[in-house]
Amino acid sequence: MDIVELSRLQFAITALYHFLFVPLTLGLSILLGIMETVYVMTGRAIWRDMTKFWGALFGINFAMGVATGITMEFQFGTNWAYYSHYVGDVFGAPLAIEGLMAFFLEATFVGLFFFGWNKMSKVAHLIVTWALGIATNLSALWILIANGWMQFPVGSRFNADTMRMEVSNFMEVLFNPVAQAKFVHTVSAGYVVGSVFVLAISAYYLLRQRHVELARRSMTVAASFGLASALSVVVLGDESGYTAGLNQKMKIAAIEAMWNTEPAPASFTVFGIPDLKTHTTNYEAKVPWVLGLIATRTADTPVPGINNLVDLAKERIKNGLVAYDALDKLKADRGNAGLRKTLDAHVADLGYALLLKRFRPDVQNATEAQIDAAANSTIPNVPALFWSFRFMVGLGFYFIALFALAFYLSAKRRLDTHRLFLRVCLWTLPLPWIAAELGWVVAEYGRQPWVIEGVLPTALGVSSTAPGNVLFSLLGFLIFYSSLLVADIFLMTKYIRLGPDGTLGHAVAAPFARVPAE
Amino acid sequence: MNRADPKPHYWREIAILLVAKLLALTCLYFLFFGPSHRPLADSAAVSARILDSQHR
Repeated sequence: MDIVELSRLQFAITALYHFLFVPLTLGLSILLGIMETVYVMTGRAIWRDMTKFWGALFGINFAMGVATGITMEFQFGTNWAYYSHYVGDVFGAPLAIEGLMAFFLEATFVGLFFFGWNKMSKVAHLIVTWALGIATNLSALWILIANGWMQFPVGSRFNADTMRMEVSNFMEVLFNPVAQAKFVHTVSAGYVVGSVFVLAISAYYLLRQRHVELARRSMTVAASFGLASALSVVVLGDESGYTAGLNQKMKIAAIEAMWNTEPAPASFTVFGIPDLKTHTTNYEAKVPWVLGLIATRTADTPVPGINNLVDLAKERIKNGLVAYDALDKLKADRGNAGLRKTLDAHVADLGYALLLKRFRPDVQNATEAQIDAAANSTIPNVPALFWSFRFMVGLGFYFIALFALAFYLSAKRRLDTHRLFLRVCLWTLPLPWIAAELGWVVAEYGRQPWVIEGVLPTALGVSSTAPGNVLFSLLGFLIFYSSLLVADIFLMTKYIRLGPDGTLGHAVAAPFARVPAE
Repeated sequence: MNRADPKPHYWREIAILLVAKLLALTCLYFLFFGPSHRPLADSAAVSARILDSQHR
């Protein structure tokens, strides 16, 4: 593997690993706030014990999340130095704010949450717990503003003198519709992960008739919060798909394995076998109108197919070559206003000309065949996107059904009487993580070959370091992260088996026992 | 129980941890972040990568 593949693999592994912990942190932080609110409102000690017990599991997960997140920020400097220079002026600000949120705001409230139980009033501690949840979510907001800009680079322009993208309108970067849609979709997915976690562990206790009162109440909270979250994930995922359609039409076409533009409104392919050689999808099962309505919110706007988008990419490459030529000449003649005007007129397609760098270094002399190859390189891995998306969506609907049933049984006070349902809840435990990781694959793998959509091809962003360096650190990460995973699973299972009594060091309070007023 | 007992115990553990952390960070610095590992990526380098007809 070359330096590009190694750097991509390293980032993908660390990001996918980090994303095992992030959604649970997002979800549990809000669930802790809900549980503690009930405690403060009712004064019943069992809700305080619930908050402390799930808080202990949150703490293990949070520590792992922090440890695995730091390495990604370093990779921007070590493995992606050209990327960092090219887009650092835009990308750096939200990334830095995210770091401040995570390391100062979140970490401070985590400390207060764990060590402030007997040192603050009930209400003050509740405020800390909610502040922890809000800080965790704000941290996610800023990283998704950075990521949203990679998908839809608004509020910025190319500066030919500094050879980088620079902020032209920070508010556009901040309120990027792609970033906002991704944020609400991602945090909702995190809430589903947190809810399934609480639901599954509580089901484990109920199956064994242990900690029944705590487990039943935990399941009730998880069922109601999880149902609202699972519904939100689907609705907000639809919004995320719509915003992706604004700028990432190729990603949408690849997710649908839609090779040719269909008459509006396009149909949605429920099942099919994409064939990369013939550019067709075999055994298609389609639902009329659905894709057109989802992707365009209209009945008369066509959704472009992959082959049509490749043709469009060819035009953009040729247009980008005009910008490239002007930029090249500006190097020797900085004050030439005509060249600057030409560059400005075609700069939107400069990134497309850079796609040719993979095929020949002197891109101005590219042949038609090389332009065709570069245009074809804009097609992401269609089967991977097609199936990742379908499994993710299928799991999303499964979670809605599961939480709806849990909510119904909870309302009927029959949660612990259906052992089959409890087993299903327990075995559902890994599924939200699989759905979340598949979502990452759709969003990030679907962005290829771009690191910044339409602006910078991934291959041009990597550092000019030796592949051996990246390979060495990649192996180091694999060993270190595998050790962390073993430690995480060991600690989680240890405290889950120990149960609330063992974890808290005292018996969980009786259901109606009240904590004396302060 | 002597109330002064835990103090030296914690000091020793904290000191050992800090030294171990310092050693680990020093190793990491020389392995990955030292001057020899810093790829130069400024305007000139980016210009060369993108516009140089010899550079892929």
